[in-house]
Amino acid sequence: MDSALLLISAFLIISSGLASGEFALEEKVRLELAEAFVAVAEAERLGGDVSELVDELNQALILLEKGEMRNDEVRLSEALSKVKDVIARAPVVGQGGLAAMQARTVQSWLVVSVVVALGVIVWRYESRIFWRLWVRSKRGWKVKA
Amino acid sequence: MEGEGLIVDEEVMAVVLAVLVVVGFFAGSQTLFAGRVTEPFSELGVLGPKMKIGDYPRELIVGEPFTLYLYVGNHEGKVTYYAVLAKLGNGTTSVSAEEPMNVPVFSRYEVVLQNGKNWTRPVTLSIEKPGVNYRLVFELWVYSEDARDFEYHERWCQLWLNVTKPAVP
Repeated sequence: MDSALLLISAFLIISSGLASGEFALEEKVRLELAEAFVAVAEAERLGGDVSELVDELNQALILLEKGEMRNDEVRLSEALSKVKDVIARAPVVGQGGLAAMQARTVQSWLVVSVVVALGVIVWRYESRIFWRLWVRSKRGWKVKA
Repeated sequence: MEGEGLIVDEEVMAVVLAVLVVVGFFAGSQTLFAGRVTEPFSELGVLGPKMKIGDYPRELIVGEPFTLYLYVGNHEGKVTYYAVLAKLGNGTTSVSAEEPMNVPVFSRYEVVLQNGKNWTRPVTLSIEKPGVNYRLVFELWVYSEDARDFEYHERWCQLWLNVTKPAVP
């Protein structure tokens, strides 16, 4: 009788421990997912291309859903590793985006400067340049009197 | 003769300058406002089993699986983390754009979407209790970076269902 009770208690303790471990893993994946999303949003704000990170987050969400449905710890662990990978990569993507954004800003200012410079040149020298080009283009002409 | 030439030159110059100003204005505005969304919004839709608006189930048998398609579209101007919560209520449980349905979550589906992207996925559900005028509601929630939690996004869809016991042979 005592040994039966002992067995039942041991089974209950082990099963509850397993269940709580699984629950803890699910919770951990969810917490890390939220953190990963915040990191991805920040990377996007900095101008980074977050397509790959978003794909990986969605893969992690599918793994989480399947893991929860089938109580599959392997899938949950895989989801966690994908989420952690996103958290690690997001700042790099953000920095890349920041650099690209700065390059685009410099490029835009260059374009604006060129347009303004062209405007000034046309304003200042248009008649001289125009007539010089006109004369050059008509150089071969002969005027009949 | 010299005076006429000068007048033409000024006209040409004015036209060239006007073109330059217009080009400069468009180039500048494109650079400044590229990618900005003036009216951010999200879409939530429920499609029937043939992935179309229609053919929704109305009469079901207890435990009978039925398939619907969820559609979510992101036009928020930024990457967004969505959760669609399925809830089962009845004629007396209320849901509105302001308040989500106050019943337990029946099923939950999550996705992260970039701006301009959408997502359609099949969901297979079954109801295990007979009843008349069940209200199957799908609510759209988004993850708020400030609140660090999901918040109701004022979008919801519903299906009215009657669920009967299986006929006894």
